[in-house]
Amino acid sequence: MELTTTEIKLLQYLSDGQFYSGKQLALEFGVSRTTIWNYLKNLEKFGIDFHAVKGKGTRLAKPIELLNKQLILEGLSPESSKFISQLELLTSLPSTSKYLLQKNQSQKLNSGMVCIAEMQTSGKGRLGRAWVSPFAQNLYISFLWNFKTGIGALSGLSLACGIAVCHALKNIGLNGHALKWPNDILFEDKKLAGILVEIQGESQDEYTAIVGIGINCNMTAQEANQINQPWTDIKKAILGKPFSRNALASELIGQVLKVLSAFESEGLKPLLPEWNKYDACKDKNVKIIAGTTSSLGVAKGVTELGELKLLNSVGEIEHITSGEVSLRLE
Amino acid sequence: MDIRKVKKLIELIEESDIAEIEIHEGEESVRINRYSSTQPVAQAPVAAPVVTTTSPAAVTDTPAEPTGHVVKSPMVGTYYSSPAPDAGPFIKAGQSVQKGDTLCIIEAMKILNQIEADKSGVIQSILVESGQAVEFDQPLFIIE
Repeated sequence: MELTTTEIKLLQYLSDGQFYSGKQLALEFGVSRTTIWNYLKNLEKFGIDFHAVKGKGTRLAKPIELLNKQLILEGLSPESSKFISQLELLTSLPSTSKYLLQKNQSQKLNSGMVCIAEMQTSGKGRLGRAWVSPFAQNLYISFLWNFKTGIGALSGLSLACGIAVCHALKNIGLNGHALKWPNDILFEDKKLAGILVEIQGESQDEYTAIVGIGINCNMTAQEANQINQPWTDIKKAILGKPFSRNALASELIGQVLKVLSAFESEGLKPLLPEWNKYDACKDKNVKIIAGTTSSLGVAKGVTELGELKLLNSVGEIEHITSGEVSLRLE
Repeated sequence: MDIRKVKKLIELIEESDIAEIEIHEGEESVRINRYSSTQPVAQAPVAAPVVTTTSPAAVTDTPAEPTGHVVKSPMVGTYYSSPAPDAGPFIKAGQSVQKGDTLCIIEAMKILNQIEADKSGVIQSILVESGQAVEFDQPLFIIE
């Protein structure tokens, strides 16, 4: 499923949320009114709602901001521009991470490759869970970086990426977001963004990491019905303050590429104070479920390798590398 | 022949409908028969497999042949046999794999590491179960 260039242009034309008559649009785009009607029908398939009012014309049910490659690139700081090798912005993909993985298999990609899609048809979370990815409502973005290091040195990379996302959110004006180990981004204990890192080995000490990030920006209730955990989006969290998805994309690219470029030589260590600032579980009672086992304890921050420090019932600190953390209510 | 190999073969037979299997490897051979030859099949449908190992005397004194190529875990994490809980496994025992094929995923801290075959061959055994925690250097598979 794909939108044509003309359909995207039509959507951009309508994005201010004003009424336009069929005649007006037909003139503007040099096509018949029937063709315009067909374009609108196709856009509806992407979840775009229109209001048609007799005598006034058609408008978007709510104004939307489409992602724009030019705007995103212009929004990058000079430092971030150094790290980006290529930006691809696509209307629809099965998954941005899968796209980069496959592309990298056919032709080795350079570090700093970034891919964004306006929608994903099979966006994924951890262990094959679905990531709800409707058109033009959120941000779905994947980054590729090559590392010349052993796999052990990549421990903690997923936490570092979580910190990068927190910085980007702060820079667009959000406050109060937090990290749940290893890297869920929460706002008021509800999921705002998720990160999945996939690693493919080229050889013993050459690895390619693909970091996939999904951020809920402005999700309609209808789409959100498919989400099976407490969630929120930036629009709710930022309390009506205006924000731009394009500006968020620029910030995110800058922050994530900065972290990726420094990680090979520095690891997680220099970012630990930042982690501690955003740690949602510090000193709280938690339950960790890993596969078929679970353990209880008090979360005590993370190690330099990104392991969760868990104070167990006999007063020892265990280092947890895998599993899912949930807060226990007293 | 390695006793573990024989044990694995018995398990394979128990899971299948095969009544008898004979494997030759160099000078050694092993025949596993699900049903004792003196008993009619119909009377003992769940009889345990019977193992007959024949091996020249010269070979039995030498140390056990090294088992196949062992694929070890490069890291501490959780082992997953399939890309998603409801999806089929990447590989099954007895299956041929090419160098570079994905064998499993090991997850730690939401980093998913695709473990690839570093040798082409047949998956002789899978030594871990999906969802199980694995240690650094823990053997995961044997490829023959």
